[in-house]
Amino acid sequence: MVLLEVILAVALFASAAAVVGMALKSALDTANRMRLESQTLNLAQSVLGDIAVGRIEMVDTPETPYDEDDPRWTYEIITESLTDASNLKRVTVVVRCTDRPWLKPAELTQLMLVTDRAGPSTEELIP
Amino acid sequence: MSAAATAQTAQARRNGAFTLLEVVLAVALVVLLSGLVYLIYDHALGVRATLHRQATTALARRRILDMMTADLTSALPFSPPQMGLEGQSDSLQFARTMLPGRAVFLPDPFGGGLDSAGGSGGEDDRTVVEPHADVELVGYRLRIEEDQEGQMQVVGIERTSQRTVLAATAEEGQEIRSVLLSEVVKFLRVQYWDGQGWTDSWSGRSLPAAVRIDLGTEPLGEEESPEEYPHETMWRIIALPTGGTPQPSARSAGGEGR
Repeated sequence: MVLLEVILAVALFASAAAVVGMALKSALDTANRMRLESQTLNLAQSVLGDIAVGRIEMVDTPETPYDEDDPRWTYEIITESLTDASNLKRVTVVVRCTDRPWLKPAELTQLMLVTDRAGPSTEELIP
Repeated sequence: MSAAATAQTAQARRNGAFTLLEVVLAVALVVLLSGLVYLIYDHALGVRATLHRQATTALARRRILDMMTADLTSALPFSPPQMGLEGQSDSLQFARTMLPGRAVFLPDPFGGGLDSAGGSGGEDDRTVVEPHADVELVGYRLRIEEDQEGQMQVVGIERTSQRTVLAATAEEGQEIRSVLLSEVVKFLRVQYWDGQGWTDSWSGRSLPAAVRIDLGTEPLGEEESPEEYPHETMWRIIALPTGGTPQPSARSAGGEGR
């Protein structure tokens, strides 16, 4: 076995190890991305809940931090009136993480009633 | 290298054999590469375990939040028994509407008629289906059990359901069924939006406008309060369509924080 063959073998081994290492790193990145995507979806759903109960106004809103203590997470609200229902709006919430631009924004859309109060009145249902 | 050693090496090459130095080098290389392979394998196993734990945790918390969302969005004030929502910071119970089981919609759900013995009639000997209501009492709480050393430990989060709302008795294991949803979740914090702010408890015949659920994977320390929970939580605010009180003022865009 000449020196060239040894060097070639070691280089091949190092390449294989690098590929395995990159695959592991990619898997970890994917897991982290999945966790963050869950977080963005939860936040988008929470913003829709906030709008439903009136904690956040149902108006077009540019990118705004959800929590002032943590400005990385922002939401944007896009409202669209429906032509055949004046009291109904199509509300789209887009949540982004500003310090992770590679993270896909979460976008949720829901039809919501335009009311002056938070939700319908609470009336007991008697069976 | 001496003349004798050189002659020995030349003799070895002529015989097609390895010298001692080559053998030692080869063994050293094998040991080195084996060590590297083991390190990579061990690291891969660690990464795999981490990934599995993260995926399991994320999936469990997300599915539990989805389940709680589905339950809470179909919650309703129910009377009798004057049931709205009873909640503490680590548990809640409420009535919710639901579709009765599929068996209720069978042409003959009682398997041959109630008037026959055992609810089954003649040749058509089918299983008797219990009557289902369209309302059930649902609860979420942490299951706490005593371990072998006598310490109380959080086992996980469980969901209780009572399908016979007006039952004369309601006992665990009988009328109340409890299912351990996940052993991953060991922290549950529930907050209730009363139209002004978040509260840690709720009681009465009405429902809160929204509920905030926090799920964590580490149990709360004995000396810690839920507000001081030091670990990361997965949380969601769930609006209750049948709940809510008049909202004095909505938060304007980019306005006050939570």
